[in-house]
Amino acid sequence: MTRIVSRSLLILVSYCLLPGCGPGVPSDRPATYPVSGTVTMDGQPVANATLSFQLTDASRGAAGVTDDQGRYDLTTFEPGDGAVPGEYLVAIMKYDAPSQGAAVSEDDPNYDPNVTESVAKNLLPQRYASVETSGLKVTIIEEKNMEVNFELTE
Amino acid sequence: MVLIGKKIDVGATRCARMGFTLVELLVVIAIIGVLVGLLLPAVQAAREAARRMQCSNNLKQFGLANHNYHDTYNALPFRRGGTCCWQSGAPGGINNAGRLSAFVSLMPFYEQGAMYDLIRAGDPAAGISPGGPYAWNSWGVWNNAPGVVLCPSAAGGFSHDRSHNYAFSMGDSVTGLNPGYTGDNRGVFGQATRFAEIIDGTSNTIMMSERLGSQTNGGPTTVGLNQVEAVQGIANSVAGSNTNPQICMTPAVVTGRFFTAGLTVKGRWGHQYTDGQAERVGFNTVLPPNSASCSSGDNPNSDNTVALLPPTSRHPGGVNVLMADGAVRFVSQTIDTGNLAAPPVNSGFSPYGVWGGLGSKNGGETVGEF
Repeated sequence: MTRIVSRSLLILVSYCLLPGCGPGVPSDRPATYPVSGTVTMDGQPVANATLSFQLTDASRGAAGVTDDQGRYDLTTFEPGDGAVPGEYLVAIMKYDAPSQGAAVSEDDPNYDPNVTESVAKNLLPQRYASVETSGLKVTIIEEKNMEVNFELTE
Repeated sequence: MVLIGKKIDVGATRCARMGFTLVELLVVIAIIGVLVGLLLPAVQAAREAARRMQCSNNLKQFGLANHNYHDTYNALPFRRGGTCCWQSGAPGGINNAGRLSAFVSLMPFYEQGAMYDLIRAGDPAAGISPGGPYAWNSWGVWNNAPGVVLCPSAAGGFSHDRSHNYAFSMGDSVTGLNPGYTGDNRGVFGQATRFAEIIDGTSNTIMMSERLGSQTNGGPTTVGLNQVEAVQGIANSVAGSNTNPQICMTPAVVTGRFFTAGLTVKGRWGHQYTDGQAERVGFNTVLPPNSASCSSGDNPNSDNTVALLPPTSRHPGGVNVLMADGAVRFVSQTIDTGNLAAPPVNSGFSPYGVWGGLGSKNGGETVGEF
């Protein structure tokens, strides 16, 4: 009788191992490893800087945005999941926030559809804005919680 | 006595045969548990499967409508076009500001010829020119959207009589989305595209897909924690997202299912099926399906010319898409999107993997299984 019980338990467990029973979407995405760090400019943390990581063959990328302390978490597929291991070229920018336009709402009779949006300006040295000129190179390895800091200079 | 004794004996053996042991009971409960566990989700999923079938059938109707339109005019409709132009201070009825969506152009081909005729005629007695008033305006003729523009799965948004859930492809283009018919628009719906111009092949190019309506109908509001779902709104002023679309997927923009607190998010999508603006009836194939939408611009209306607008739906795991050959496919939200940190391109291969390649009509990519 205990054999019957253990067998039925086995069947129950094996049903939950079937695809579709467990959580998550099946995917063929490569594994990512969390990467975070800080961005400083002449020793001062840079808030709202955007980081663009590009694999040297440009086949994949990752991105991050710094918070008030200048800290960022890289994202590849899901928010904050990190990056696929490999050799990356990095570009860093910081745009001034475009002022929220004073345009009137569409529901207003004075609504003007021809408003042009303001263009954001880069506040960091322009050479960091492109992976070709930034000279920033990082190798992401299969390691938990990698820390990559960028110390930029004028 | 003996007789009674015998009777008791018989009864006792019967009792022993008819009863269940604890183990037998447990096995039966386990079997019932397995059956319920297998069948119950299937029963619940059947409802969504039926809704999804209706959503994909509507897309199929649009596929036929587009093909019949092409047969008639030898080109696909503009995503945005009409009578020109908006004038400062003029009454809203003078023209439709050149902004009627392709949903209006296609009307005669999805059995809404009567509404199309009324829009064409206008209402001169009420000061509305032929072609209708400004496309974003409320107007009695078009205020009752045809049922085919709605997907029953797309619940949870702000809905009214002009809501809709389908969108026209702008390919992997991120900039120059409005008006959309000048410059390089890499998607099917740009400047009166002919099928001959879909060089990647009609079976390898996406024509239309789905999008959920926004949570509100209005300009940007600063959102709180867990307030607006990322699949519904459009985050404004996300600096750098025009050259690095992946920024729209970072924790700075998305927290769980929702937009990160403190962002300015607007609700313009899905509220006016007659208005052809990108943020009204368009989508691009850059960010994977069911991700957040962002614009680096700060326009409070639907007029940003730069935006990331992935298709979104309530179907578990992805969205329905209509290919240019009329086939309806289901695309997983884990589809290969290549290098999302790369800036968009105007010609050649899409940097955004299979998903970007499916969007561009002349990128030259080979698209495998998806």
